[in-house]
Amino acid sequence: MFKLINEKLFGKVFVLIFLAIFIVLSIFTYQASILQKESILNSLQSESKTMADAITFLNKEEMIINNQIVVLEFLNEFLNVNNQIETMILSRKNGNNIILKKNYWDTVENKFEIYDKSQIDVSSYEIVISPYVEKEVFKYTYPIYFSGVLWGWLHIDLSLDEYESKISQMYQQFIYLTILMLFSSLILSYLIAKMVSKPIISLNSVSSEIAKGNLSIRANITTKDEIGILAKTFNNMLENLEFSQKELKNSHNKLELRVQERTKELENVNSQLEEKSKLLKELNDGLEEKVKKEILKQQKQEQLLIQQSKLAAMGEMIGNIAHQWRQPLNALGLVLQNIYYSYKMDDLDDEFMDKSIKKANLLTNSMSKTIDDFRNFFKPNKEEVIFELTDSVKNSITLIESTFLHNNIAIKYVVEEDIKVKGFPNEFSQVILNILTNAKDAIIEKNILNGEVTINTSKDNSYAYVKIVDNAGGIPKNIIEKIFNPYFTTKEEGKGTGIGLYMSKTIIETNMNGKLEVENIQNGALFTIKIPLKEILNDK
Amino acid sequence: MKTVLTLILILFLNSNLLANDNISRFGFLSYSNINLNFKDARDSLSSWIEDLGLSNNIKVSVEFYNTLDELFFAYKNGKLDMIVISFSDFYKNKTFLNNISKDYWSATFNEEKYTQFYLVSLKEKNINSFKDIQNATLSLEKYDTVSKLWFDKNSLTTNNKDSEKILKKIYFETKESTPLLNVFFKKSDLAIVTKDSWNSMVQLNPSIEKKIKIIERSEKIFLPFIGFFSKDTQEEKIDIFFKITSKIEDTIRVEELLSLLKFKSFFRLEDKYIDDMEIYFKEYYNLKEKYD
Repeated sequence: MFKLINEKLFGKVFVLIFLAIFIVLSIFTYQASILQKESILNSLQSESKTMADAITFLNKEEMIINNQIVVLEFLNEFLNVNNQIETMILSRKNGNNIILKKNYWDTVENKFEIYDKSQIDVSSYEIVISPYVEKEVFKYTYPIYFSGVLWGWLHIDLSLDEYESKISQMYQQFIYLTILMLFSSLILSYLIAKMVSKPIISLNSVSSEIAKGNLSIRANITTKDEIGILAKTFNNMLENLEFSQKELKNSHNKLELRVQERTKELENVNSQLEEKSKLLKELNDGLEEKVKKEILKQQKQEQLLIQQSKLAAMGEMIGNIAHQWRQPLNALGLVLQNIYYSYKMDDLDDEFMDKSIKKANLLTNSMSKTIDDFRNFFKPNKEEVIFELTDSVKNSITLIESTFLHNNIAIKYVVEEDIKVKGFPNEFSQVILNILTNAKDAIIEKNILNGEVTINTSKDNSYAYVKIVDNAGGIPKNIIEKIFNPYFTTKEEGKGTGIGLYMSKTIIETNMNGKLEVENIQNGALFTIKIPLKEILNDK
Repeated sequence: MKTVLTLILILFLNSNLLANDNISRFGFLSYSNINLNFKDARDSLSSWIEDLGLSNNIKVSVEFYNTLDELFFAYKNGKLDMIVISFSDFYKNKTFLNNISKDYWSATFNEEKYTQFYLVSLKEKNINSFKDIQNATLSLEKYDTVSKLWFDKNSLTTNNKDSEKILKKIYFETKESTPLLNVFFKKSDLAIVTKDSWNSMVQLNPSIEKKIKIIERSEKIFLPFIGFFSKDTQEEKIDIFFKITSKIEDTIRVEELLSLLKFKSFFRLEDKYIDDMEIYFKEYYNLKEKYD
């Protein structure tokens, strides 16, 4: 028991319950004692009233005729046979008083004030110190009425011995009861506190053992209340914890093995790294030379690329020129054929010759102009100029139009005039030409019957837009992100360099602060060129 | 005199019952005008005596007679083993009773065996001796024939007249204390009280002594009553009676009985105890005969 009391929780619960029971019992005892006292006093009052009623009833006639002798003898005998009575005073209104006590009686005119005070119309009682017996008495005053007229008062002072005896007995009983209840409270408090705290203390004990590392211990609580559920949960948790710890230990062991393995691996790696470091050092030592070599190699490759690009461009140009020349050459051939037939027919005259020569000159001039156009087109601009976007687009179309017609590819364009941008018009035209060439190649490659490319120019407040749409089925998703990369091409070897779109993106985004983007639409690809208007550039 | 003199106390033992069953029976006999207090307590008295007998292995029967003649008739015919009567009644029937009686006894009200009477009056009254009792009013206890006899004898001696012829009025009171209270409250000029009564009343109210004076004191020769057994009563039964009465102080029930009757103790009467009373009574009757 004392071990339990030393437990803080048990002690608190025990003290709390004990105090609660003790306080309730104390209040109950206090209230009971008050009620008991009142009850005893009421009993005394009832007894006094009965005595007074009897005395008055038996001496009514003698009192009325004021036969003091008979009344006195009666009262004396009454007092002698009632040991409880300490004093009796028969006080006649406007008359003398007969005072009686044990072995004494007298008739006096005046009596003590405490008796005069209580002479009212109704009966009353109080506990006072009687001046006649000089001790506490139960003083009862009874007004005597005859035919409704107040005759006088009868004061009966009862001994408080019985009252005090009862009170003493009551206190004694209360003491016994208190002792009994104290022990009962102790036992009850102990049992309740034990019932409430023992499971918690047990859990605490288990927790302490767990804290020391003993996970095999279990809470032995089988109650079905919350504590029991808690203990069950606790035990489950412990089982899980123990299992987890075992797993952790296994993992730890495995980890150690892994660490050892990894350490070995690392050691190997380290040794390899050391070797690599040695090599790297050796490499570093000859890096500059290697870089120079690589740069030279790169430059050579770029030169080669440029060369290839030039050749490709040239090939393109020649192809385009060939397409441009095809018609005037045919016409020129027809002119020459007409001249030949006219000569054979002798119809060749001066006029015909002049006409044919003019015609032939016109055709050759046209072919020459084509060459000039291509030459100008491929001549890079040295300085930024403000140019009409639509003109540049039209120039590009003019250059490639014959090729498109030859391949039955329609070119539609919807242009908005007066779009001024700043930059390099030839380079820009080259970009348009590149995109159109790619579109053409894609249509031809995919054998699109009604090949069609639409060019749209527009602007808003800040930018000019050129949108080129084809119906070649679009760019495969897996390569659409790569088409602007250098050296990326899907064309057969020798037909594409893989730098056209790369160069185009560089021209638009680096040289002209614009944006070149591509996306697949319904039947093909949409290239969007976005260039700042010249006003925006000027503002900047 | 004591209330007991208004009673005829007869204790009789049923010899047949005693002989056959080793038990006895006591009985009481009273006048019809018996004292009220005693009448109230009669049942208790019977119960106490019966219990007292049972505690001594005696069955006691208590009976009450209404007149002295009935009492003497029963006693004379052997129905009663013992009677208690006033000394006046005994003296008047002395010859008859002595012939059939033995083992006389009486009881005391105090430490002394004899009773003394006081004649008292208010100090403010000019009554100082029997000479001054002319036209006075007197209060005395009813049936106290001995005190009345004492007053009469003194009246006859002093005034040559019977008191009833001198006094204006005599109040016979049933209670022992009433005569003295009559004087105290000025209802009566004179009162005869026993010494014991006077002392107890003065003790109760010391102012009595301041207001009332003792005019005359009687001789200390009077007995409150006299009891005696029939000559036919077995000695064994008489021995049992005196055995019981000799240790009354140790017997709770007897104590209660004595408290009721206000006895102090019982004692056997020898001839010397009643000689003076007999002489006194003889003188009184001589004087009465002389002046009547």
